Amino acid sequence: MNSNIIHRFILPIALLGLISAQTVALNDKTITILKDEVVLEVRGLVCSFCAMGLQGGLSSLKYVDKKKYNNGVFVDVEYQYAVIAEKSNQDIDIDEAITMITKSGYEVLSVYTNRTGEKIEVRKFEAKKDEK
Amino acid sequence: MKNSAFSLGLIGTLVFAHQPVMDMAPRWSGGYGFQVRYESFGSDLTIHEKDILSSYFQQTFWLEGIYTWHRSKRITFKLPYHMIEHQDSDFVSKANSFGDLIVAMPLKKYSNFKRRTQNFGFTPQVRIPLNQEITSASGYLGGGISLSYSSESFSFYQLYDVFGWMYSEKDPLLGLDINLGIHPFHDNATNTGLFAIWDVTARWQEFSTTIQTGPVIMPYRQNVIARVEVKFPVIENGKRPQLSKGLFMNVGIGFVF
Repeated sequence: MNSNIIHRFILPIALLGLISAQTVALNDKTITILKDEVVLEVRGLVCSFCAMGLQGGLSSLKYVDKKKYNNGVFVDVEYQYAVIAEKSNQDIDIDEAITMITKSGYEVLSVYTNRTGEKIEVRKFEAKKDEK
Repeated sequence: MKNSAFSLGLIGTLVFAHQPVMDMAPRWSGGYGFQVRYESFGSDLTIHEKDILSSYFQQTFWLEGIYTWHRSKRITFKLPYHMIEHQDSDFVSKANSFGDLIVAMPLKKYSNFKRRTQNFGFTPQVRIPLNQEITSASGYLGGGISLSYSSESFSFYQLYDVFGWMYSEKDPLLGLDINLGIHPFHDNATNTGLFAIWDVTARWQEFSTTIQTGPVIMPYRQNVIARVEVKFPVIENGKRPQLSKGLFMNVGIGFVF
């Protein structure tokens, strides 16, 4: 009986979860990259007011789903990344987000997206040599 | 004349050197902020070498603002309103007035490292008297320069600031501020947290040395940050009168946008 429940319900749900949400290791933390989300690894993002500044700027981008997180943006200052929630089937301009972060004084090292919900795509940027 | 000499020697050693908002924000282009602070210091006793002279209490409200047009270039202002009560034997004097406006241009060079950010700062500043009358706390035209270094990781914060002031009507001042702190709590979801810092403040003028130290608590939530500190003197000496075991208290709240 218990075995049937596992096969019929729990396993399919778990598999669905694996398909639509996948993970990456970022600064020693495992992060789930969801469909309709963009994750940016940001060097220098260590202080609370850095977070506040970035949240304000990134949440003003077009197609940010402000119903999620803090006006559509979650910032982790301990592991130095930001998550931007997108409206369903509407992609934010990632280059605009990178420009905004760079102008705020930080450095984007990588960008993770999961547009299809099946595969994580990564864009890496080279860190400045004197700032490692 | 005695009162004037007393006051001139005292006040210069207690300059608050930090820049709004709380030395930290805003770092982003186009950011601005303001803060209000309440400062209190004084003592029932003041000393002149080995002599006990009188009492002196000063309360000051500060209105301070900042605009960041690039993370490396900012402009700040600090406008004080002083309330001073000074008693010397049977003579009591009280004075309430706006003090000298301080305008500064912090220039910063930031570097980002793995899990740490730092900046070197160079800050020219001017002190502009808003009224002609010279009191213990105001009426001095001055120019100053500050050299600072600050480093912050998720868990630790440190600031070192060496600065000097030249005045038109009193002795030059040299100062050193050191802030060493930890960041014991932060909630990413609400951007709420707390810094716990230890502050060391040293001031040198021609005839006096003052070193104060004490704890600082800086709670914050979203775009609001507060600073509460109490400092007590560990070294007070000099040929001019100054406080004896006087506490310095500072409470402030700042907003950034």
